[in-house]
Amino acid sequence: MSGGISSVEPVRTSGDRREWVEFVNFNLGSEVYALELGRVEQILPDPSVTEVPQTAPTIAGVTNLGSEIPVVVEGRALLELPDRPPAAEPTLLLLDRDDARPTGLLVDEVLGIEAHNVDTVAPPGTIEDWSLPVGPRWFRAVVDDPDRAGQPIGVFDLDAIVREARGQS
Amino acid sequence: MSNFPRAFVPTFLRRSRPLKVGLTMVVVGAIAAGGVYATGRFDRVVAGATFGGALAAGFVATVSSWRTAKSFDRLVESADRRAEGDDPAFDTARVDCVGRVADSMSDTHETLVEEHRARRAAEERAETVEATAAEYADVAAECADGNLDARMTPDTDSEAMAELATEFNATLSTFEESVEDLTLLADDVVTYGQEVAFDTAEITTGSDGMADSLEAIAAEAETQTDDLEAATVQMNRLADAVQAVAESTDEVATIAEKTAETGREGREAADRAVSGMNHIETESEETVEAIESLESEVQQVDELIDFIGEIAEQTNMLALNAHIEASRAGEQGAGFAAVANEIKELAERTKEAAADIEERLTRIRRQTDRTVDEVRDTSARIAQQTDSVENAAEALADIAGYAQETNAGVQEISDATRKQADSTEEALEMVEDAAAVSAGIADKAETAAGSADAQTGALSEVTETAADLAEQATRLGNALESLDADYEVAGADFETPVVDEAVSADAPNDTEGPAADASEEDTAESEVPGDENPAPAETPEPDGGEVTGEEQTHDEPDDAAGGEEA
Repeated sequence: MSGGISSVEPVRTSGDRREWVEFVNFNLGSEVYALELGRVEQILPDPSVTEVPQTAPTIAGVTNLGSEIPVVVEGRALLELPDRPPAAEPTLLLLDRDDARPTGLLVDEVLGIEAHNVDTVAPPGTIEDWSLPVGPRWFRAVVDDPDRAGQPIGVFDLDAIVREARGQS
Repeated sequence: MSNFPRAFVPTFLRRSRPLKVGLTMVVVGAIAAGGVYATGRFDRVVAGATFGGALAAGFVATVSSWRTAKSFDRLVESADRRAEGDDPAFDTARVDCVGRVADSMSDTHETLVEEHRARRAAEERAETVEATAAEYADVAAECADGNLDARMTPDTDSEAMAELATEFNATLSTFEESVEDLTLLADDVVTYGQEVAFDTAEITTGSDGMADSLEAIAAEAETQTDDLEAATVQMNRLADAVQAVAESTDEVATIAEKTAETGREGREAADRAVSGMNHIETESEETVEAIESLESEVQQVDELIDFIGEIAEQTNMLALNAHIEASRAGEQGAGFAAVANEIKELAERTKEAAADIEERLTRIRRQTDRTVDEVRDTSARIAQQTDSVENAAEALADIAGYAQETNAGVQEISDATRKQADSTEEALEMVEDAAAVSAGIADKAETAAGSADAQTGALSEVTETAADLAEQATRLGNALESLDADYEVAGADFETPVVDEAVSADAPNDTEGPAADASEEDTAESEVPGDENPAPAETPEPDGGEVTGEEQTHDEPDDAAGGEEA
């Protein structure tokens, strides 16, 4: 976790702020994914998650944030990745779903907050050579920043993820 | 009573005792009565009574004497009858002197009868002894004739003659055995004489061989003399070599002492090196401890750096959340977002600095680990080298000890070498003496060889003498075997030595010859080995030995000494 932060690039805010969209980048497995900054309410390092009986593997459990008790969705189970090592310290992204029930996404590591020009953001399926482990319906957009040297970043669709997780559960 | 008064007494009175007694009593009574009457004091009656009493007494005495005389007359008569050969009885009832005389005459008579019988028996025995003596004389004559098997018969009444016969038989048996032994002895003498002849022949051969051997000994002694002279030369060389060895041992001793001194110095230097290495080892351990302490400090710094990294992480997280909050605030949160961004950058720089420090600390830790390992290796090597140096020190001490022992051994060798030099000189002298003795032996061996030749000649004479002895013994044996036939001399006394007569009959001139010859020959042989004319008849005289001795002295002055040495 300590080494990951050094790779976070500073948010580029030059120019018109409205031409720029900020994303929270994170790791799941070997891939980098992103969420819109406005859809992330809080970043919580190494949360204490209590498992809930009779739920699917995609639901890691619940965690106590004092004012509320969000449901924690396991990102690796959702993407059907292998389980995380026991000593690993995952990071919980508390999602902002307006008035819906509070939900959190458990990822391997938060890489940082990056601002990308809107020109680099495209709908999913528009990039031909982008191979994803899951279907494009899970994504709202794809960030194809030339700085990333041809490695597009999938921006998850929160509602699709939560729906899929609740559906499996 | 003397015979003179008897001349005045008539013979009839002297023969009739009763008459003498009665007459005496009458005379005595008359004298007594006359005396009584002459006194005048008594009357005639008294005188007559006295005379009458004297007559009565004379009568009684005459009667008594008559009876006694009668008894004696009977005894005399009996004795006369006994003398004539009758055997009258002397018995009488009387127990007085007459009875005792009768008993005595009876005993005398019996004694005379026994003596007569004994004399007759003696006469008979004398006749028997004479007959036996004549018989024994015949046997003795037979024996004298040479019949040694004849024996006397000891079956006779005379014990003396029986003993004589038994002793004669025993003497004759002994004599017969002696003759047989003498015959065997003569045979043995013949055999021994032949053997002596044979042995002397062998001795002669041996003497010849001995002479040859002595000549060979003389030659070998000369060779030995040459060898001993050569040995003398070798011994002189050996003495020189021993002297050189002594000088070399002195040099070796000096080098050994230097070696010991160097060993001791090396030991001291090694001890100093060991001490220094132990000091270095101690300091290395201290260095290791200091480095380990430094490592512990570095570990603590690393922990602090980790703590700083965690703080930076948390700060970064706070900055991210602040940024999120700022972005949610919209335009109004732009300044807050800028601050959050600065904070995030600070956190990132802090984290980078922490990472850099941690990297440096990692390098330092790696370096210190390596240093600790190197110091420990160095310490271990120093310990090993310390052991090696200690071993070297011990080896040097051993070298010093060995050098000391070597020095002692070399000194002993030096002493032994000096003793050997002395011994060599003594041996040299002994070899020279031995050479001289060897030369003397050669001379004496030659002399002994000459003596052996002379001894060979003497032994030839001994051989001839032994042959003569054997011949004479043969003659003696023949004489003994023909003893019975040769004895023609009659009436020879059986006590005469038969052998002497036999020998004297056959060899009258050599009666004492063989024994005397043997002894004299031995004397001559031992005293005069070189005598060339030891005639048996001549050698018995001591003068002959002296003469030959003088002759031998004239020829060989050291003959006796040479013979003993040979």
